[in-house]
Amino acid sequence: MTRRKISILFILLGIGIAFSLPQFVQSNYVLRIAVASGLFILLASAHNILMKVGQLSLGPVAFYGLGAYVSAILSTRYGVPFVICFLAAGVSAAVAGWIIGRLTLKLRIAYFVLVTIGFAEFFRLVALNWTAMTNGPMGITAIPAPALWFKGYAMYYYFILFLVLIVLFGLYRLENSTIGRAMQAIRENEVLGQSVGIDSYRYMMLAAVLSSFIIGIAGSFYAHFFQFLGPEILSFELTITIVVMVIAGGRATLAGPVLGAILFTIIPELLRAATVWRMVIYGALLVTIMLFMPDGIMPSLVSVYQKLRNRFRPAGEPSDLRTTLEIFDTMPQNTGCRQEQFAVSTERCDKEEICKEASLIVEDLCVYFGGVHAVEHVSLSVYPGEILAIIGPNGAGKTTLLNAITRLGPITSGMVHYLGEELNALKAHETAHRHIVRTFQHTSVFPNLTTYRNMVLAHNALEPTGLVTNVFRTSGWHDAEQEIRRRADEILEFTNLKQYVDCVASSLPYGAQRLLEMGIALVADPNLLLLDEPAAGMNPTEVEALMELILRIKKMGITVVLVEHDMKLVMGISDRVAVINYGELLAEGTPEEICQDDKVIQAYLGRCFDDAQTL
Amino acid sequence: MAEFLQHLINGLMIGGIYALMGIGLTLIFGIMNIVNFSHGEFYMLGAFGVLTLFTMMGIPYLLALLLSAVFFLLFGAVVERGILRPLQNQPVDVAMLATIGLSIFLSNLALIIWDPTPKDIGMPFPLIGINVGPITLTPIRVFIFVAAMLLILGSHMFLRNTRFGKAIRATFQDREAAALMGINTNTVNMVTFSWGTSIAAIAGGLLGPIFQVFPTMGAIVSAKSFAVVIAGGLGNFPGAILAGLLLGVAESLGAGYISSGYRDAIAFILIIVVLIVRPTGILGKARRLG
Amino acid sequence: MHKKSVVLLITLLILIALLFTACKPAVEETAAPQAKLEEVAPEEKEAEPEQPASKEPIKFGVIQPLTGPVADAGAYVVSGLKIGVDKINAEGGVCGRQLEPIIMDGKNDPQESVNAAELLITRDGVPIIMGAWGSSSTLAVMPVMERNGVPLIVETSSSGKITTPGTPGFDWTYRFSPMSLMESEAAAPYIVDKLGMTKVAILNVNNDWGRGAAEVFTNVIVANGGEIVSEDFIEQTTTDVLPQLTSIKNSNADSILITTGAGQIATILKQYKELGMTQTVLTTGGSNYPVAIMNLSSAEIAEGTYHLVFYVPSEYDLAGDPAVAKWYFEEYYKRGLPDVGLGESYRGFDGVHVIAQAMELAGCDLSPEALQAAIPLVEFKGLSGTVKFDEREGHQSRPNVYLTKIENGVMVVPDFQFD
Repeated sequence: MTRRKISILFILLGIGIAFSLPQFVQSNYVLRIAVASGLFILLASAHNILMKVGQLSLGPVAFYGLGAYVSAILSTRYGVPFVICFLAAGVSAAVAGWIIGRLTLKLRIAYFVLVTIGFAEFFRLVALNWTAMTNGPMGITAIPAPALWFKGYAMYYYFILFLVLIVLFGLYRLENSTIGRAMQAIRENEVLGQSVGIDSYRYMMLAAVLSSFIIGIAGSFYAHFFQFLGPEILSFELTITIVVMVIAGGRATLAGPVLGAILFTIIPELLRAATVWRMVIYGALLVTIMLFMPDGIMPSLVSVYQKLRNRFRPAGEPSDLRTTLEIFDTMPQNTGCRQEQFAVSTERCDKEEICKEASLIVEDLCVYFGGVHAVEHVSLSVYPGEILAIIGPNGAGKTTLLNAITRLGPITSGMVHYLGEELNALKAHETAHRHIVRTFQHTSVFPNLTTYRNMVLAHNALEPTGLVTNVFRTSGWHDAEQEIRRRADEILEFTNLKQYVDCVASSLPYGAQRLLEMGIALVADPNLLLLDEPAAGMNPTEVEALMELILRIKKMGITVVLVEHDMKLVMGISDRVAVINYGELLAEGTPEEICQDDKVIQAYLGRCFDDAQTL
Repeated sequence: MAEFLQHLINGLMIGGIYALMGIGLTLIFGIMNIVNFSHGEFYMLGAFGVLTLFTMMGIPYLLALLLSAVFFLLFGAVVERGILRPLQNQPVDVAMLATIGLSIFLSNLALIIWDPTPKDIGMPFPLIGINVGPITLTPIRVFIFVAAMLLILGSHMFLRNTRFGKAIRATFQDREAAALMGINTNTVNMVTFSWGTSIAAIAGGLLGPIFQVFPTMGAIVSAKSFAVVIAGGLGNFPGAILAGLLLGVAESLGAGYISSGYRDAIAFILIIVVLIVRPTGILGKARRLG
Repeated sequence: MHKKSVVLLITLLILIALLFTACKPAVEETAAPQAKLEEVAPEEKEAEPEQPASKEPIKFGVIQPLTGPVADAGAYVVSGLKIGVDKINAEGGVCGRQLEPIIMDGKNDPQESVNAAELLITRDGVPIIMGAWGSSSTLAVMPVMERNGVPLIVETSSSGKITTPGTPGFDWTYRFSPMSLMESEAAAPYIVDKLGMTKVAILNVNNDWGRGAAEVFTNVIVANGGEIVSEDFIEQTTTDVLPQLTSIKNSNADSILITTGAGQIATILKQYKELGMTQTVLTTGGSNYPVAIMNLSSAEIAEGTYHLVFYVPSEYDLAGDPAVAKWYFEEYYKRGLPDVGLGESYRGFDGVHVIAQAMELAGCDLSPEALQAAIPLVEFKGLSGTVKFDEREGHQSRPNVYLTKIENGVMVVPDFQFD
C-alpha cells in the first residue's frame, strides 16, 4: 500500500468517525459544539482563502451577517423556501464581496486590514439602525428550521458536515490547481507572479468572491440553526475568533484553519471551568501561541513531526514530495542546501542569425516621478534573436525603462510596441502573456518554496485556469499537470538546477538563486527575455556560467535584453549595446562601436574599456 | 448658529483626545509596522491607574496622572521587549494577533482586579459651565484639550529637536539605512512603543473624570484611533492631529444633526473613503514624520 | 507522509476525548421533547422522593454576562442571587436539600449563552435555568429550552417577543422582569400632568430595551397630550453624548427621557450638567437606583432628576414583603457590595426564590416538566412586589413600578404617584 493510499484511508476514517458521531454521542451539548465547530470550519476555511493570496481581512462578519440577514428576512417576511434563501445568502454575500473587492483589493497589508474593519462595522451599524428591514437590536425571531424534519441537532450536524466536506474537498482541489498555485505565487511574491503572467487582481477577486460566498451560506445556516438573529452576529469579537482560528491554526494551509476552528471552539468551552479567569487565560494563550508558533499550530505540529521522522528515517531514503497528498504539507522540506557546490557546465555555443525587423520598439519614452525625470525621450529597437545590452551608471533609468516595458512601472509619455501591438495600456501580467518576461535586480524568487515548486508556480499562467476545470479535474487538467512536470524538469536540466530540486529557494547559494530566477523566467515561456543585472554579486566563475547560459537561451531563439554593469559579460555576449545616462539614450551600437565612443567613455565606461578589450 | 458653534467646540474638545490617541498609534504603526489593537486597553488602564491613585489613594490629580504616565512608560517597554520584539520579523498579522490577545488579556484582567462595576473618578475641577458668548465651556474640558495639545506639541518637539527624535525619524524613513548608520533600531522601537503606550494611558486618565471608568471602555477608542491614523496618513503627525479634530467635529455635527445611531459609523466611513480615494491620507504626501 | 495524518488524527481524537471527559452525557436526545421527558423523569423520580433526606444539593442553572461590556449587570444579578441562595439554604434549603446555582458566563452573546444552556442541561442536568440577561441571548436560548424541555426564568430581558405566544420556546419561558410597557403604564397618570413632560426628548440606549421603552413611552406621552421632540439612540459603549445633549438643549424640549444602564445615565447627567441644562430628567429601565446614580456622578449633578424603578431598596414598605426587603437591604451592605448594583440585584434574589418555590410546589419533583407545571402556581412576595406569572399576559409577572426623585441629595418617593 502506498503512502498516498494510507493518507486517504486515514482521511476516510476521520470522515467515518465524523459521520457516526451522532450515533455514539447522545449529548445535545457535544452535538451543539460539533455543529458550532463545523460552522467555524466553514468560516475559517473561507476566510483563509483570502490569506492564501496574502490578504488579511478583518471583515468576514460583514458577509456572515449579510448572508444571515438575507436568509432570515426572505424566509420570515416573504416565506421563501430554505433552499432559495440559502443560495440567495451565498449569492448576495458574493456580490457584496465583489463590490467591496473592487474598492479595496488595491490596498495591501495594514491598509486592507483596517478598511475591512471599516466595512464590517458599517454593516453592523446598518443592521442595528435600519430597523424597518432588520428589526434592529430587537432581532428577527422565529426563523424557520431548514425543513420540518430538522428536529434534533443531528440533522443540523449532518447538514453542516456535508457542507464542510464539500467545501474542504473543493478547497483541496483548488489548492493543488492552477488557481491554488497562482494564489501561492501571489502570496509569496506578488510582483514576480505578475511578471510571469499571473493576474494578481483577478485571483484576489476570485478569492474574495469565493470566500464571501462560503461565509454567506454559513450565515444562512447560522440563522436557520439559531432561529434567532440579532446584530451581534456582526460583532468584532466574532471576527477576532475567526482570525484567531485561521492564524493560530496555520494560515494559508488547508488543515490549519480546520484544526484552529475545532481547537478554538473547544478551548473556550473547556475554559468555562476557570470561571472569571476564562478570558484572561484565553488572551494569554493567544499571545503565547503567537510567540512560540508564529506560523500556527498545524505547521508547528508538522515540523515537530518531521524532525522526529528524520531522526528515524534511514539516510538516503528519498522524500516523495511531489507524489503524496499535499493536504498536510505546510512546511517546505529541505532548507540546508548552502553547503553544496555550485556546478557549472562548460558547453559553448555560437551566434545565430539576427532578424532585420525590430520586434520591440520603444518610441520617445518618458517616465517622470514628480520632478524626477527617470527616463527622458528614449527611443530604442530590439531585433528578434539578438542580445541587446543596456548599460549606464547607477540611477541612469535602466531599471525604470525595463519596468515601463514590462508594465510594472508607469509610463509618462511615449509608446512601447511589441510585434505591432501597443503595450502602454497593458497590465504587467498581460505583457507576460505576450511572452515578454523579465528578471529583477534584487533577487526575486518565491523564497519559502522549493526550487521545483518555484518552477511550477511560474508555469502557472500557461495552464487552464477555469474553476470548474480545476475542481472537477477534467481531462484538460490532467494534460496540464503532465505538461508542468515535463516543462519543470526540462528547465531544471537547462539551468543546471536539478541538484537543488527539493531545496527551499531562500536557502540556495546566491548564484543558484540567480539561476533560479532565470529558470522561473524561462518556464514562463518568453520570446523576449529582459534580464535586470543578472550578474550582480556573482563571482567570476558564476559569471562565466551565466554568460554561457544566456548564450544558450539565445540559441533557443529567445531575444534577450540585458541591463548589466559587468563589462566582461556585456562585451562578451552582446550583439548590440545601448548606453543610458540621466534618463537619456547616449549611444547605441555594436560593442566595438560603444567601446570607442568618446561620450560613453567620458560618461560611464572610463577605464573599463580596457578591461573589456582584454577579454 | 449658537448650536452649531457649540457642536463645533464639543467636537474640537473630543477631537483633541482622538488626535492624542492617534499620534501614538501612528508612530507605532509607522515605525514598527504594527497594527496595535491593545492601544485602547492602555487607555483603559490609564484611566484605572488614575482611579486607583487619585480616587482611592487620594494622591493629587496631576501627580496621579504623572505617576500613571511613568508607570505605563515602563509597562510599554516591557510589552515591547517581551511580546513585540520577538515577533518583529514575522508577518504583520502575527504581531497584530498578539496585540489582540494582549488586549483580551488586559481587559479581562482589569475586570478581575477592579470588578466590572463602572467607577467614577471624581472631578478634579468644579463642574460649572462657563458661558463664553453663546457657547458653554467647562474648566475640565478646557484642561483636557490644552493638556492634549501640549502633549502633542511636546512629542513634536521631541521628534524634531532631540537626537533621539532624529533617530526615530530616520528609522521611520528607512529602517535598514538607519541601522547601518549605527542607530539601534531596537531601542527606537522600545521608546516608540512605550511612549505611545504612555500617551494612551494619559488620554485615559484625562478623560476618566468626565466619563465612567470600566474594563471595556477601550474598545471604541481603539477603533477611532485607527480612523485617525488612516485618515491622517501613516506616520503623518500634522495629519493625525488634523484628522483627530476633524473626526471629533464630524461626529459631533453628525450626531447632532443627522443620526445618533450612525454616529460611530462616521469614523469607519472616514477610513473607507480615505483609503479608497486617497490612501496617503488627507494631507497627502506620506512618509514624513514630526 | 502518512505519519503526518496520524499525528493530526491523534490530535483530533485527543481533543474529542477531552471533550467527552469535560462533559459526561446525561440526557438522551430525541426528536420530540415530550418523549425525552418520559425517559428522564423516571430516573429523577426514583432518585428523589424515595430519598428525601438526601444531602445532595439541588442544582439549577444561571446564565449571566460575567465578561464583556455588560459584565457589571451580570455581576449585580449574581450578587442578589447569592444572597438569595444563602438565605434559602440557611433556612433549611428546598425540600430538605441545599440549593446550588451553577453560574455560566453567557457574555450576553447569543451563541455563548446557547452553549452555556446546553452545557447546563446536558452536563449538569439542571431542571431549570435563570437567564440570559439580554433579550437577544434570551431569545436565542428559548428554542434550546424547548428542544430540551427545560423551563427558563427570565430576570432581565425586556423584549416583548419573549412573552409573545408563537416565539420558539415560549411555552417554557416565564418572565418576572417587567416589560417597558408596564413602566409606561404605571407612569401614564403623572408623566405629563405631574412631571410636566410635555415636550420630550428621548435619549435611549440602542438595543431592544432602549428602543422598546422609546416606543411605549411615546405612546403614553402622546396619549396624555404631550409630544416627542426628538429621539436619539446611543450605543452602549458611547461615552460622549454632548452632541445629542447640545441638540436637545437648543430644541424646545422641556424634558428628557433616558433609558440605559446606571453608568451611562451618570455619564449623561455629568454632561447635562456641563451644558448647564435645566430640562426635567426621567430615567427608566430598573438599573437606575438613585443612590447609585448619585455615587457614579454626584448628588449635586443628579439633583432634581426622576427615576422609575421596580425596587426601592430603602423603602421597605413598597416591597412585596417589607420584612424581607429590610433584611435584604441590610444583608446587601453587610456583604460590602456596591451601591450601584443594589437596584438590579433584586432580580437574582427574587429569581432564586421563584425557583425554590416552584420546586416546593412541584412536591419536590425536580423533573423539568413538573417544575414547568408548578411555575404558574408560584406567588412570591419579593423585593419587586409579588411575582406571579400571568398566563393571559404571556407568562409574565407584573412587578411594582415606583417613581423616585433625588431631592436635596437624598432619594424620595413623591406622593402624587399614589393618588
